[in-house]
Amino acid sequence: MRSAPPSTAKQFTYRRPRVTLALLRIFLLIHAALVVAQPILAGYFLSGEADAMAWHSPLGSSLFLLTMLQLVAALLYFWPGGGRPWPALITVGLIVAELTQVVYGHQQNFAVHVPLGTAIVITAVWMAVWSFRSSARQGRRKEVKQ
Amino acid sequence: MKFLVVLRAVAVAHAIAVCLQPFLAGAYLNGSGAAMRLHEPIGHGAASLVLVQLLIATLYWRSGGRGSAVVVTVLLLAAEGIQIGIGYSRQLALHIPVGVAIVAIACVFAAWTFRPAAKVEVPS
Repeated sequence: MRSAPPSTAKQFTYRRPRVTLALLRIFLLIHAALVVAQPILAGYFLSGEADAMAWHSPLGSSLFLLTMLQLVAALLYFWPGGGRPWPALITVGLIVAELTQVVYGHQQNFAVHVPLGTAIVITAVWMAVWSFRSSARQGRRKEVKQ
Repeated sequence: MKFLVVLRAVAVAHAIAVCLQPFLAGAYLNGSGAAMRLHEPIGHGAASLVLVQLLIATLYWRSGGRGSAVVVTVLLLAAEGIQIGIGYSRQLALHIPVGVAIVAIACVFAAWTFRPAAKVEVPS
């Protein structure tokens, strides 16, 4: 994809992320699926299903590890993939949010845990949806000098 | 497309109301009864706002806007009707995930009304 046609004018080429975008999508989908399971498990727990906490707690405590892998994929998507920088930035925010969420979950401080959990679910799902939109396939503008 | 401005206002007001709900639910689970006394009327208020949003979205659609605004609002209306029912019957296994979905859809919809795609006139 790096062939620059001969021309006298300035040539612009868009390096589109392909392999790195596919990798990022895999992590975003797994992450979104696991994150969506959390409010369902929490709801079952609050309905009196005590076993649901045996899933909600270890899943929540380990999610940030998956998010760290997602950060690697998002960084590869940025460079060398040539994609946008913000998935990596938001993923850093998600790691911080998910670690905070674990602390407030263990403290049983629901005034923080419930709204922060809602925000994490929305962010993770929106990132997964976005990765399949056309803007995720577009590369950053890169000038090729003749 | 003059209804787009009104649609934006209603969608933002609805999104704010809906975003308050997890904070109040969390405060209630921390032991605050006052939070639950607010969670209930705000839930009803949000559902009323969705009814207004349905009216505005229909006017926006008929005056050349996107029909998808009506579809999303009908989905939100159905979800919030169910949400109020399962809230009163304490079916939290459904109430919490449906609530998260409502907040997500309401926020994305409100953000969408400010995007260029919402301004596009659809030929009828």
